Amino acid sequence: MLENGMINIRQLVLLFITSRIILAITYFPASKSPPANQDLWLAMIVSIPVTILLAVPVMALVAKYPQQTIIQYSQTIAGKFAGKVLGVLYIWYFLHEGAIVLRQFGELITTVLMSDTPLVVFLIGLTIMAAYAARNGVEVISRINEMSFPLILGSFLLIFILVTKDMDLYKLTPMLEKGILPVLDGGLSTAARYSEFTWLAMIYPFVKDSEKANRAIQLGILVCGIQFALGAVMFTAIFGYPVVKNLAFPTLAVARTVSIANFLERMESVIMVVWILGVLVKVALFYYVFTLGSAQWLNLKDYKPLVLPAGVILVAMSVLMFANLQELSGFMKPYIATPYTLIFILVIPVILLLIDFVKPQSTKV
Amino acid sequence: MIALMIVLFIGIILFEAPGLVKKKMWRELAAFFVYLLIGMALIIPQVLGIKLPNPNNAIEAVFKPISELLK
Repeated sequence: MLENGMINIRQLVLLFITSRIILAITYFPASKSPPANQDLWLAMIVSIPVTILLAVPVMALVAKYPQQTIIQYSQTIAGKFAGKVLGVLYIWYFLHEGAIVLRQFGELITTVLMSDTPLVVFLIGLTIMAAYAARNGVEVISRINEMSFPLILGSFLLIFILVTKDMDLYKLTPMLEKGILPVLDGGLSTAARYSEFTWLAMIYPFVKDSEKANRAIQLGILVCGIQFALGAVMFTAIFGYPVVKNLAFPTLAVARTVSIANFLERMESVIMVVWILGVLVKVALFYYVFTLGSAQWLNLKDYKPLVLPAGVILVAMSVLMFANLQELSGFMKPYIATPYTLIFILVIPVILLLIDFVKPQSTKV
Repeated sequence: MIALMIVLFIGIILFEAPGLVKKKMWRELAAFFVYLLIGMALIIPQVLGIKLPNPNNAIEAVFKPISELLK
């Protein structure tokens, strides 16, 4: 066994939620996607059922092969060669996502906090921490997350509560100005970003009582959707949509406006801490499944030796892929990110399910 | 800068390789070196300033027709 750790359902869901909301807590890329107006929060609510529907193929697939990771059963289902090809695609995706998140981390820190320090310093710093977590396995990653999660969600809710007095809900009107279609479109593009399902397909074998995972993940999707909606309401009600659209880091902007009795100010430092904790978990997750997946694909006895070289590749990719923040934001735009992610969370699982339907290999009855 | 990279790589090798050799995990050792070489191949040119092809361009090129369709 390449991984001896086991996590329970609660830890899995917390990992899922952290991974998904951490980006919404800082960049909130959904503000640039449809419906691109004050109905953003509606789109976030719509994304809840859409995501639950989107999750059906992946959850069905992992339930059929509960003891294997997607790298393993893609070979079982589609045959050695096709399975290996699919495996390479997923391994690439883990690396790619990990490098993107790592870059998002670095860009935020350099843009907002320490602009004179070279980007690489933060990339390497976080990668070293993530390497430590990834090397120690999924249990350690999820324990880090268990400690960080209350802080992450709590800080967000705290800021939300603190700015309610500044919210002008009239900025959320007119509702459905462009009609229902852009809202649905927005729901879909938000749902399509749930890259979490890819690492879930890798971690599933290490989850205790994984039969209950489906319900738990649905709950996680609900929590994420509510957080997105609250965020959208918060940004739009305080700044008005035209401003939000141009903000690189909406939550930081909101956190800066918090000023209680001239005493409680500069809340953005709280966001910073939250960001570092959360992004560490997310990067560690993708780093971990990248390494684990590679080791399984190569039929190695242990994934740990690959962790450090993989870290080098991760940092190298992170630097290579984008020249600056604008390019990074450009890639996160819906029309490219959506179909690309959908391939991995929807298309490939559906294809695998169809092949498995025609030629069942599952040992489960 | 290059010197720093070389020190880093030697450090990584010294950290992992002896353990693998002692346990006679040759397959893992080979994979380790391959990954390290890929990492070196990606990072050294960037330190030297040589431009490397960007995978995102390939991805965007593949998905651009689809995104035009969706718009």
